[in-house]
Amino acid sequence: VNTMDFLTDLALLFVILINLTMLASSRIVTCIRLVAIQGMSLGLLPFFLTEQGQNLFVTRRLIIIAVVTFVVKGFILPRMLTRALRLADVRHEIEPLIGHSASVLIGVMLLALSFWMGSRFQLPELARSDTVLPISGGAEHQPQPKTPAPGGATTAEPGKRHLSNLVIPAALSTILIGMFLIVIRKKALNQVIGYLLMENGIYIFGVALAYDEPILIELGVLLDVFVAVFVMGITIFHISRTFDHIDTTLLTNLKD
Amino acid sequence: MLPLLVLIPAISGLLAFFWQEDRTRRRLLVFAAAAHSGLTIAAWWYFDPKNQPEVLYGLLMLDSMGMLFLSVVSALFLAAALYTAGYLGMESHKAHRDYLEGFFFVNEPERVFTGCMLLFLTSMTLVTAGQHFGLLWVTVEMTTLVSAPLIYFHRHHRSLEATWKYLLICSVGLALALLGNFLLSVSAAGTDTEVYTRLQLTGLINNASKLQVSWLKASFLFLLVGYGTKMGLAPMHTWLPDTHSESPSPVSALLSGALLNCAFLAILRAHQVCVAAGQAAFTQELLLPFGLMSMGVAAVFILGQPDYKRMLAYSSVENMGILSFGIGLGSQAAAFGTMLQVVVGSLIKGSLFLVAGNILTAYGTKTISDVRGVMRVLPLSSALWMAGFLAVTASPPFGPFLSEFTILKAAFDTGHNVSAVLFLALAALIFIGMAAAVLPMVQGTPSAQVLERARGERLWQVAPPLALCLVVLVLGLYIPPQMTHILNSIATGLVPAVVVADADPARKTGKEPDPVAPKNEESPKAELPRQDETQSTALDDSARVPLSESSTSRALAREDN
Repeated sequence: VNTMDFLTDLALLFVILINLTMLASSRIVTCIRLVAIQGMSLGLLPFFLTEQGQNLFVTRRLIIIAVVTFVVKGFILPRMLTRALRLADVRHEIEPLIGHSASVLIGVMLLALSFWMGSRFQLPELARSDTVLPISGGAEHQPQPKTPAPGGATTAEPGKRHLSNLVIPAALSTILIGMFLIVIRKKALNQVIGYLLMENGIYIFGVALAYDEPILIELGVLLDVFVAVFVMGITIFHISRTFDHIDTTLLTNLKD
Repeated sequence: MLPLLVLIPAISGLLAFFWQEDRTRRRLLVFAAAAHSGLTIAAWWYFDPKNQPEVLYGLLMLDSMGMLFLSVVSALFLAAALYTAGYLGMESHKAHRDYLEGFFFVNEPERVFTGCMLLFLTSMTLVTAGQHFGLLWVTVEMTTLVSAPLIYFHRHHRSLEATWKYLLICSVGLALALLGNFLLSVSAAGTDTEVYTRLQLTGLINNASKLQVSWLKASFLFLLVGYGTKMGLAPMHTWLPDTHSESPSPVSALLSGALLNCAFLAILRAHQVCVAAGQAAFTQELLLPFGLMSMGVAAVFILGQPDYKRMLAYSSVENMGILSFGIGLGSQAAAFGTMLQVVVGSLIKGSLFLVAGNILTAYGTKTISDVRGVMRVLPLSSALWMAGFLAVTASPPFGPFLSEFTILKAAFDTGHNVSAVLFLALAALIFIGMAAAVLPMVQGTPSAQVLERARGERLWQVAPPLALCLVVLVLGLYIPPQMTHILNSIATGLVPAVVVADADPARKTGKEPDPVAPKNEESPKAELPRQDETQSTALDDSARVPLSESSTSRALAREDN
């Protein structure tokens, strides 16, 4: 296993650990810091993803996306959350619907579920020549010569994509734990953090498996997440001003 | 044409944010809406389905389905803008007294409201023109974000709660749709397409046979759940009644008539890809139960509903259920009916919400039992309220009768007898539930307090819903042949029936079952059953089996690899 693969696994492991720590922490400030660190490691992730031992991913579009992700997820969004926190003036998630140790336990179970689902995923074959590579798995690491034909789907041998075993479990567990956080945490800010966790998980999935979306779209997705957190932050500010708290379990005036 | 359709509302929206004077800003809103509608009509005039100009590397293009949805959005927005211009004039900048709990609240700055409304139009236009699944996601999410401030126009705690639920539930739902996009991209990994066309609708449809079936199915599942949340399909509809009942009436009209359709359009795009990949049976099996469940939930909550705006909101859930049901049937006739339902269902719902706004203004309550004698207080509105009720519950001679009847007939023709009976029963329940609410509201004697406060009906309160209602009435009596043609051509892309008709020539009944070009100028009513016979009989017994067989065998072949 080369350095890049090691770094990929390290970053993904880090992401998973942050998820579990998030479930254990009651202070909202800590959760914001954790989601910031997670965002930064996600920004670095694309640089580590390799194919055939060489880093094919570092193109101009990738660098732009990685840098923008790093800045937005690592700095801007946490800054906005901190600001909302200051305005709303809350510190703790006092009593979550499920206790911290129980929720960590459930988090571990969700992680196990993700690993099990990850083992069942079969990555599809690629037809494009520049991504023809041997299966990752450790032993069979023989570089194949790249086919010179342009668009050589017909000439190239279709191969499996090289991918860390941790990618799909990390992505799925981040999504699931994000949803879990939204359900169990009562404070509106924590729910936004859960939403960000979901987005992070989907980002892992996207950057590892569907990396060739047009850059315009990728940036559009990031912009949408940014605006979503912005609008949610404003809404939280209004909630705290109107209700004197941001406890969403008390937002139950509207029902049938 | 398309750049103008996007840019005019976008620029006027940004202008509105900084425009200080109220009167001219309202004119700007109406002007932008009128310009948008005019451009839409012009786009129809020059519309050539074979040769549409592409914008931004083909990310944006208006095909016939997009044009249909764009027209609905544009018409509704024009009506809502005219209403809003008057409505904002009536809502002063002073603090208002809450009708329910008696506290005082202020309104959102009018600049923000108008600006967001125009940006809402921009984003919906982009959704209808989106040809790339990534762009579709970005624009649908954009509609959520710019419409959230619209819901929070009356700044009090109930609308705030509705806004929060809307933001959070729809954002989480759409996050799942984003995952669906990535799964779709994985399934298309083998299609050997360029970066820009990987998730392009036409590229996906053309390369559909090369898509990886299991990933495609997973992708559709996520897209359905994600966009279904935004569309208000049960059981993901929970945000919808709160949002529709708490937002100002023109916004409710837009959300219900235009926004939900945009999410439905996104599901239809995914469905198109699945149909092209031979997976129609899979998507139909999902869409049909979701549709019936939505109708069921709507029926349960409409019966005995104490709040008339919530009742209309659940009626929107029902409408979305009908659309999902219609596509789930998988026949040409049903798809035709569904497309017609998209038009008439949305327009009449818009009209009803605007009238509900008039009633709310005059009575100051949303409780059905407190509203009596609308006929005396607001004669025109009460007529529109009755007409809208009859139309939305699919009574003749309104448009929904035609569309829902077509869907129902197609359900029987395709052998979905149980579903069809359920459909009919739920529609009947909803009719009863709404009748029990609407009829007492219209009749009876209003309280002296209401009569004293009544200031008559203004033109802006009545003309927009009246226009929408008239369109729905006309479409129930006569559908122009051009429209039949367009609806048929859209319906063809949503069903796998054409392949079947070719594969089984013995079943052809004389006429060519090519619905794309019905040259005869008969009335649509006479034309519809003909397609039923040719298409759906071919579908019910022979079509489904070979299709699903071939798909499963292909899936098996893939797993072997």
